[in-house]
Amino acid sequence: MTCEQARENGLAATYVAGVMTDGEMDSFEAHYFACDACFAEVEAMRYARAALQRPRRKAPTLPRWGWIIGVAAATIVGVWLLRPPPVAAPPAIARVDRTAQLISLAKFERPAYSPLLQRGVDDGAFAKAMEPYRSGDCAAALPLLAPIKNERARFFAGACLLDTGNLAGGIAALENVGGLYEEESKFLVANAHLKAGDEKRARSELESLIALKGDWAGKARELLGRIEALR
Amino acid sequence: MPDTADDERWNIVVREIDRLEEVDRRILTMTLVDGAKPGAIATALGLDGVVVRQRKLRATRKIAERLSQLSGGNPHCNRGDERDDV
Repeated sequence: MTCEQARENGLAATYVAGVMTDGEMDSFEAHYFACDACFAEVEAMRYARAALQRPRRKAPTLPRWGWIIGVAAATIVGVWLLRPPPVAAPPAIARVDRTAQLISLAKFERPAYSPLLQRGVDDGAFAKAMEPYRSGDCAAALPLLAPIKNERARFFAGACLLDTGNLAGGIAALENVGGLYEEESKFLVANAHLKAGDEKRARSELESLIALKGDWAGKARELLGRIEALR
Repeated sequence: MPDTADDERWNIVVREIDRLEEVDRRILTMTLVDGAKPGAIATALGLDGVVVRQRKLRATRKIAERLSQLSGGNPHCNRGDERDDV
């Protein structure tokens, strides 16, 4: 696959919309994990998707006789200003602070990997890819992990994307990880959503992780509790 | 601590989306949020499929290019001539 093909067919948008077949997804991921241009496009589409899901404010329109409305509005505002201040109205700054607090709850630690603890098939391409990963060089590990088609490689590739600050790419990669790494992927995705300020998705991810009743349910519950505490 | 780079990206994308024509915004919403194909979008909006495709590409490129300016310009395609099955 080339960038031209990916762009002409709008694959980044299709990928982010989650409507690719498994084959299309494998092919596109193998390309974009190692391609800066397509990486950037996927990231842009992730942001765009989130932005499009937000309620939009309509731009105010003023009719020709807008000045009459203006005078009436000014009068009403004047009267309103003379009223005692509302007791329970939260200032806008409080909402901003809350978002900042939510974001501060997000934590990311690159998942540990030790070949001594991984029995079985740590050979060839995967072992080679994990050499730079172990020394903390995710940028070097990513292109080596991308062509490997298994859950473990997808998981570490997703973790690498988050490690390099690519939230959208990391989320996109980890959302498709299943099997042994499903729970840890969900936890990383929840934290990435939180870091992006998307509380709704973070909560949803944590709730689905808790529902799995696995090893990560406790951590998920704890983080959800901390989010709840900010309400 | 808030990630200011992420905040900046977010603000840029929101601003670009607000600047889009209504029809482009609807096409993007149907594509990214609803997962609709261009053919279905064309039918729903009463447009030609080619027009939908072109508008979608134009809108997505606009957003991607605007974001890429934050990181110093258009990123390179460094997988242009590679095979994916090796």
